[in-house]
Amino acid sequence: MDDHLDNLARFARRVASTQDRQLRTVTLTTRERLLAPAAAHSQRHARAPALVLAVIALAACIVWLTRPQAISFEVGSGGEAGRVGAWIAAPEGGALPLQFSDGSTLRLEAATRARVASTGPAGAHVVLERGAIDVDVRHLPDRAWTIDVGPYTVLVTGTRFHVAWSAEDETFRLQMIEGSVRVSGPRIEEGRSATAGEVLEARVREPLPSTQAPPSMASPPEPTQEAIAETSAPPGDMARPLASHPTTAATALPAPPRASAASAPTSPAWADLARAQRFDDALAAADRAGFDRTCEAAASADLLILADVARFGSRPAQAEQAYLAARRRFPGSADAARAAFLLGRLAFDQRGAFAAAAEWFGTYLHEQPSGAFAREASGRLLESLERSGDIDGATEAARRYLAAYPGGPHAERAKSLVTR
Amino acid sequence: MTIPWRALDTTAGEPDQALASPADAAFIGDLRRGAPRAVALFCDRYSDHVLRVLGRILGDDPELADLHHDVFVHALGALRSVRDAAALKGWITIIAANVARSALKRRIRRRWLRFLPWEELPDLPARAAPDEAIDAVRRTYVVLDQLPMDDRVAFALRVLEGMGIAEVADACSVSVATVKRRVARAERRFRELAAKDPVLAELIDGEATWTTT
Repeated sequence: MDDHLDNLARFARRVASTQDRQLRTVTLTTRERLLAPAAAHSQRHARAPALVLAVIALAACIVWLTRPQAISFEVGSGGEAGRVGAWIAAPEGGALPLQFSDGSTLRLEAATRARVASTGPAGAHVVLERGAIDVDVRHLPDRAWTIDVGPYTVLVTGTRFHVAWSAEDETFRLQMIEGSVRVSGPRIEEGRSATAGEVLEARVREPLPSTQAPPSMASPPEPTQEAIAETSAPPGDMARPLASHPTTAATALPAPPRASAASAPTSPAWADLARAQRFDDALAAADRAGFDRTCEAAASADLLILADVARFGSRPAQAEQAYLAARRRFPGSADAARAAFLLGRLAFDQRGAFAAAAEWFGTYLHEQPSGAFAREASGRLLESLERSGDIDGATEAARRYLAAYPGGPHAERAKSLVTR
Repeated sequence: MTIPWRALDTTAGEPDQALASPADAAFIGDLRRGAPRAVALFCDRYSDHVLRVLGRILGDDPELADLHHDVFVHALGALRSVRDAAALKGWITIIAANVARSALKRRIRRRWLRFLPWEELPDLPARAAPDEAIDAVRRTYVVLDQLPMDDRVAFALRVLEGMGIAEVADACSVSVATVKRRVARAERRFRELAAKDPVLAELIDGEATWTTT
């Protein structure tokens, strides 16, 4: 009992110490406001009713005049005004750009047919009848674009990707470059997210390729550098194989040289900013330094900081990029294992990609069976397996969890699986 | 980042007499007169303490700066009830605790208006730090949100802020025995709820280290 109280007291001191750090960032104006002249509080004159009505009328006019307008678009390099509903056919020999007034661009590839079915203030609804489109939707607040690709629908909020539809063999292909989208359609009625670097291919008559069976805890996966490499192939490669799973690569990047301490920059500016809790500035600094370049040059600890800053800066794609870079460049290290665990959390919490999350948690446990996050990874593994529909795998993971952590936070869930 | 306070203008209509310091009995009189120097000293002396009391009870709250101001406005408006300068700290702590309670009640009322289940804060808030310690603090307050208000306030002041039992009793305007019961109950409940959070369970009783960047 005394140990419990000591533990709680120690924990509470740390909470207080951390909170004090946070409180130092609160901008206080009490002193100034207390000492300011009291003029603001003294006289309040009753407004004439006519003046009030005039103000209301003016406000209504302003609201009407500034109401959001539907976006417009131009077709081709000549800037011809686009017509909503009209079919647009790109010539056989070349691409045809559509430039939208919100800054978004769609580039119809040669011989592609599509139409802008409707537009609104937040985006457009585009229908791709056949061919392929390079899509670059400008990331703005509340963007809502939809692209109908055959029987599939791609929901877009601010993204770059390449999408294609072949009516002859009823094949849908999506290659993500930046951002994320949600895809629904035959075989994926409940929708599936796709993020930067992923390639998704679906055929109407065939079931979606299932994700790899989650590893059992006895035979965890052995990720290779190729398997965990990011894909960054240029758009238009229609023969690209499926790469919708973190351990299935579409393209094997050449194994980079293992980064040495001497080649990694010491204390880059963005890392110092991150440690000073200036996270927006840290992200901006990392962008100025070149995020991709930073991923290839930073030391492993700094790379995890960069990934965490991106994760908390609402840039999950870049966070994933940095974690994957840590694993690729520092294989076998504790930081690489930690990156696996955090990739699992990213997949679980941000994307709802439970099968992928299970893979990553299993990877962490393989690499660090007694690591600092072993218990949490074990718990999240059984939860991910259950949510991905692999009840047998989840039950097995639950048995192992209960054997190792009978009183752990996931014990109740594990028990419910085992007794199901 | 805290805005640097501007230098107090001591030349505009201040009474031509030396002002007492916060430790002196005459200081109360200076405050009641509204002497700018006294108000500034009062603010300087108790600002951090008030902020900590608010922060411990409420956690991360976008209204902290405004609530901090509210505490001092209430305090300066209720000086008639203070006779002893030595009691100023305890007295302003009571005010801070009451302001925090009112803010908590407003939060609870706003929850009912949402027509949605009260969702846990997202694991990745836009401006949060990657610091796992700060994540642990956030989770701590998710747990504290589930405690009854009286128990939460007692726990925040006694366990987190480390105030003495008598101080906490004064701040909560209850007896020492009542505070002891509330703290014990809150500690028990906190541990039960924290055990269900994998991160907190690990940090309180496990081997995980409290990492900061």
